[in-house]
Amino acid sequence: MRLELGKINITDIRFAKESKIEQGVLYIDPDYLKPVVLEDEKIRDVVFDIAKPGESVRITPVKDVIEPRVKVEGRGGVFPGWTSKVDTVGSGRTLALKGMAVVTAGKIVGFQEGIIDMTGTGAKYTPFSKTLNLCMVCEPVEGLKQHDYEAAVRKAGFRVAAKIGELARGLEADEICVYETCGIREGIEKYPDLPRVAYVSMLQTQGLLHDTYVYGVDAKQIIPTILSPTEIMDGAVVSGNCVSACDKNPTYIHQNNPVVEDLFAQHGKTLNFVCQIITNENVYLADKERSSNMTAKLCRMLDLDGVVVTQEGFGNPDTDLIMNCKKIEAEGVKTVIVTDEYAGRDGKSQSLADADAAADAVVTGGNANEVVVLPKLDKVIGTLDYVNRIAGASEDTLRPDGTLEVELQVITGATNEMGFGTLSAR
Amino acid sequence: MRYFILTNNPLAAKEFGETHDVRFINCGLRDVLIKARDLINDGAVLLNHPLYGSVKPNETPFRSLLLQQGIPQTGNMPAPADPDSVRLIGNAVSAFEKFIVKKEITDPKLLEDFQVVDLSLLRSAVESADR
Repeated sequence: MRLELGKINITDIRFAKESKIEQGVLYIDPDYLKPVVLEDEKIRDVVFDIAKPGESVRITPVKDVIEPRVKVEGRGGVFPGWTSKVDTVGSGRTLALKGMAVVTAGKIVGFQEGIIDMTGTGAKYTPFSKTLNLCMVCEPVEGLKQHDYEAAVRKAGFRVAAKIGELARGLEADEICVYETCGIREGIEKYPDLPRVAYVSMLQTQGLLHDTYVYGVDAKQIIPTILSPTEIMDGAVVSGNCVSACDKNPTYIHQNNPVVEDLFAQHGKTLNFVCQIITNENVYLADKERSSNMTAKLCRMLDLDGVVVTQEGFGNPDTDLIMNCKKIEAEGVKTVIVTDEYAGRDGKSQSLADADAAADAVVTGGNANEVVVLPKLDKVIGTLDYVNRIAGASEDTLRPDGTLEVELQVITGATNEMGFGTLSAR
Repeated sequence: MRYFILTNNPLAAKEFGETHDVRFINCGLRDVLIKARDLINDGAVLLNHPLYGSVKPNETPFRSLLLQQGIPQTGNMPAPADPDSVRLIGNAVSAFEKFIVKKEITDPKLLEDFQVVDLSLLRSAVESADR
């Protein structure tokens, strides 16, 4: 499969009477986007705001982050199963608006969503302090249940990102990157001496509010399967996950998966990047056994030499991670696992809830329990009403001087387990 | 499959009380884990993972577990303990003790949010068990 990803660099976002992209500036009329959000009768109102890198702005509670894209050639459209039909995506040409993101915010469940600071200590930890953020705070209709609200905000985010992406249709890309994978036989013939490597992507699938979707399907219901890594660049995998902020994978990170990016960079040079395998992280133990069995079997059937495995979240998914690692290694396939740590505030406790001797190559995204103090910022997009309740905060988080004492866990993307952040350990 | 739900979540007891074997216990999260550990030592088998996904055990007061009753062996000997269940519940108790327990949550809205999340995870497990 071959995908050309055209990058359009967005250097500023401004509210305007007419929505358009001109010389790298995204001009947005909120009234262009509002009907797209309010077509769902579960959403009573939406307020748009803009947060720019370096500004004294805090966005909270953050639900999802999405990169606007549009498919201009090839099968299907972006976010298949949501804003497009379910054609197989990942080939042809897609345009991406780089340097910006759509951020959905609003209270869904009080303790779940995260924080993005555009300046100060917090900004160092979130990758989304570097993007121009078009924020949308959605208000639900009276009495809407949490899971209905989550679904409404999730889908509204994709509609808005796709609508903004449409503004790029017909524009010249500033840069074009080409990603191409081979068929099984073609790859073996083309790169006979290179190790065959795949990427095992574990998707959070715990239940309502902790879910991930593949072509519109709740990934809890899938058995592990194979994707071309270019499919996720068109939004084949999207986040419906509200927790936890530091180590969940927002849709933006699925679209810009750094493991996929790095494996493509080595494809044909030091390795043959065969495919992406997706699997889930269910709560039911028999599901965990079945999915890890299937994942290990796929690795064997694809005659892989090695895999990179990434986790999402922590707690019981640590068991899925270790099951995957142990069973894949038992098939004679080498693994590197990417995770993060809950090693206590002093970093001295055991990092994962599960372990095995087969997990002898581990990359960490950082210790989510590390404590940081975030400065008081001038403006809040969303509300601070829930800041003492977010996972990683406490009843003493909001201090009298307006600063916040928190664990890194509250910061969106801080210890991302696909390696999208900057923290690690050696 | 015959199983029972061990829970301290009133919302879960309400949702499944009429259709499932629910054993409600009025206690904290740690005591749910300890009770489950006792049952596992007597041969019960865990069907869902005792840890949440992405919620630390010191942050929520509620937990619902699915357990399959152990079948006593001949001569009234208790069923042998399932090693996987023993390991998982042991790790869960350790994970709980790793974190500082926060002050008791009294805000009814927040309590409801925690009950809703526990219930959503429980529903997910029950759907798999009842397939």
